[in-house]
Amino acid sequence: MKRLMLDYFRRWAWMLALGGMLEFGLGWFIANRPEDNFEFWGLMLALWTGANLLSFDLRRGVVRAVAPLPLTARQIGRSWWLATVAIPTIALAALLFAGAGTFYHFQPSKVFPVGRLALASIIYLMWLGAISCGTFSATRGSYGSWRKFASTGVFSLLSGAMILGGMMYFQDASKHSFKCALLLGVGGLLTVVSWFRAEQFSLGRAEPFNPGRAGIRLTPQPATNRSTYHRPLEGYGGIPFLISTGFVRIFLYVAAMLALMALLQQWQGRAMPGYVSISTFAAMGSLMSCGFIIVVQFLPVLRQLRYLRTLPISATRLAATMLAIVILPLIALGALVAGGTGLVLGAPADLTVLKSYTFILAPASLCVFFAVWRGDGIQTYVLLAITLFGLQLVQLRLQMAFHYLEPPFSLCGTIAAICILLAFLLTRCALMRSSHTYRVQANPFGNIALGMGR
Amino acid sequence: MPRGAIYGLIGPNGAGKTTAIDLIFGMGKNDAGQIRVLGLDHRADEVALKGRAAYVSPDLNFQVWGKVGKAIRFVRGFYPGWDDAYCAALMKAFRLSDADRVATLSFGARTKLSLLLALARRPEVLILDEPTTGLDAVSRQQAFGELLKAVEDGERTVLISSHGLSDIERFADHVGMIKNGKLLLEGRMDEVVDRYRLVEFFTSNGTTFQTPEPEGLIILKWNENRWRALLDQKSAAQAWLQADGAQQISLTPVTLEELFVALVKEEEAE
Repeated sequence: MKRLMLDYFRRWAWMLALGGMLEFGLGWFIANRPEDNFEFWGLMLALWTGANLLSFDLRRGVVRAVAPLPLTARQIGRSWWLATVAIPTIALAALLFAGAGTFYHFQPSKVFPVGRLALASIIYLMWLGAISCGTFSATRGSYGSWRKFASTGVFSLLSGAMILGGMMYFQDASKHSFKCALLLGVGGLLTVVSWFRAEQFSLGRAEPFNPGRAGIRLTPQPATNRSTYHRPLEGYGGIPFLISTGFVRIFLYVAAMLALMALLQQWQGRAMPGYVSISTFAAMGSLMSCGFIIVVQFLPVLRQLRYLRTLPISATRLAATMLAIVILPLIALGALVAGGTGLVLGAPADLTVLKSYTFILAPASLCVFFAVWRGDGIQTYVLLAITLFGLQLVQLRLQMAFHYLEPPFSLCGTIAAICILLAFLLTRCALMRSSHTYRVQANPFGNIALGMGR
Repeated sequence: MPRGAIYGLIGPNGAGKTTAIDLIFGMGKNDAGQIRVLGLDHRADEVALKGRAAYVSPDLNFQVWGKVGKAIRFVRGFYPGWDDAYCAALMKAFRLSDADRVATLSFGARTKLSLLLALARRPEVLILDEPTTGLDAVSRQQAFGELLKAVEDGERTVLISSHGLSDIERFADHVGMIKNGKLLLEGRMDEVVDRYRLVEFFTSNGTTFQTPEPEGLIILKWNENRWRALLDQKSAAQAWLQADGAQQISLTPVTLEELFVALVKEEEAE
């Protein structure tokens, strides 16, 4: 078990070191500005120092490598739980206190915020537990009994809602007793469940045969291909088919997510009218729409890039297709949300939303290039995070430059157009010149989530 | 590659087989030289070339389409000459169904899907990279049977890159062997295999045959005075053996696998 944990830490040392440094900075930040919220940054750091890293290993088929080792599945699961939940919580808490302590050393006149730091450390455990629960639930798959299907489904949904919805809802949990209780309650539950999920870790195909109650009597396998048939489907195929099928699905998903976000914002007492509320909704909504479209819609298509490149379309058209998969849903969503906001709140609000969705096209298109260039690996996710948050900071700077007014639509549009054009040229270049683009296919995917089964 | 041929491309791991195939389809940039398929340049006539060539590999991933039927619909849209009747026949032969989920297909079934998507468009050039990986013996025969049917009119050309040398020897009529991006050997299968012989001979004194061996003779192993080597019949090595005191020389035909192992080992020794 120790070797397995050490192996995990050695492979992710650079990422954990980076997270550790940022954590130290967060401790400093909490000590310096105890009145500010820290939950969002805590979640981001937990995302990149916890089980999310393990999910990359799982996608790369680490289970196949560790399954033959003289360890039980339970030991492997526990090792990874300790490496992704327990040890990071202790390390992050220590760094948080160290950061705050360093600040206090230079500013002894300030009050050392022990309570906030302790609360932050507990919240870390909750976030890491929730992420771990989501990851370990995904490894179980949903096949088998209805009970397994139901429990996997419930805890996966709860983990997903906790992580994605939590980014917005729990931003100020430490200041609201209800939110704090909800976060600690749900997070605590998921952390405990994650431990049991880790104990029941399945090695997929490598799992030893366990006859259980059924005894050892062999029963015929149900034939999956009993009726072999092919009926040529009506309608068009090709690239329009690829874009349209994905477009409808992702549009509906994200529209539902945004509606939920608006309801959450309303429910938690932040009234929709008011400049801050609208701009927060626009910025967070566009950012989350972009992230969701890239992860759920674009990256799965990227995994088929090797095949797409063998089809009779030029690199230019393929590059345009790649960009369209991300940009078209964003434009449609921007129009929908701006229209809806305009109908409910009037003219200035819809323009705020529209500007935000126009500006997000810039990082979205650059993300497409990075993903095509580097493939579906950790480097891509790091580049995506840097691009998305980097350009959000640019947007904030622009707002400051315009004295807290919104940057004009023409400026947002120009930045977006330049980035789209640049991303198109770079993507085309990567498609034509880089062999790396086609060789890095990290996720073979099997019939079990995260590609563990095959 | 002559048109209508089944060409086997063989080489050790990392020789550059997949890289060569990738370059044909524009995946990566060639350091030097030119690639022409059916008289078309792989860069200038990229779309026309890909319209007439198909690629099969177990690496290909179709999961984004969810079901087999949707993957077929997507690919069919690119090819006006798509043969629905042949596609249906292949689905029956490969025991695939429109409703099958790509995620739950076995590794072999995914390779069959890849082969189906390539064959049903009736390509002029079919390029297969390790097409039989994951297939059982029956499925392998079936796959090669379909390939032979596809090329029986003599108009279609097939390039197979594979480590299954017995399959290549049975089905390919031309062969090329590469190592480190260099073509070691190339020609008609019967001519290539016929050119080489396994030779066994004895010497009265084992020290007589020390390296360097003459050109065309690759010593495979020896045990005191008994020698086993690969002989190129087009070289003067046989005459050299007789002149240098080899006794009881016996020649036996060589298999493609024996030839491959000998040539790769010699290249590594050099």
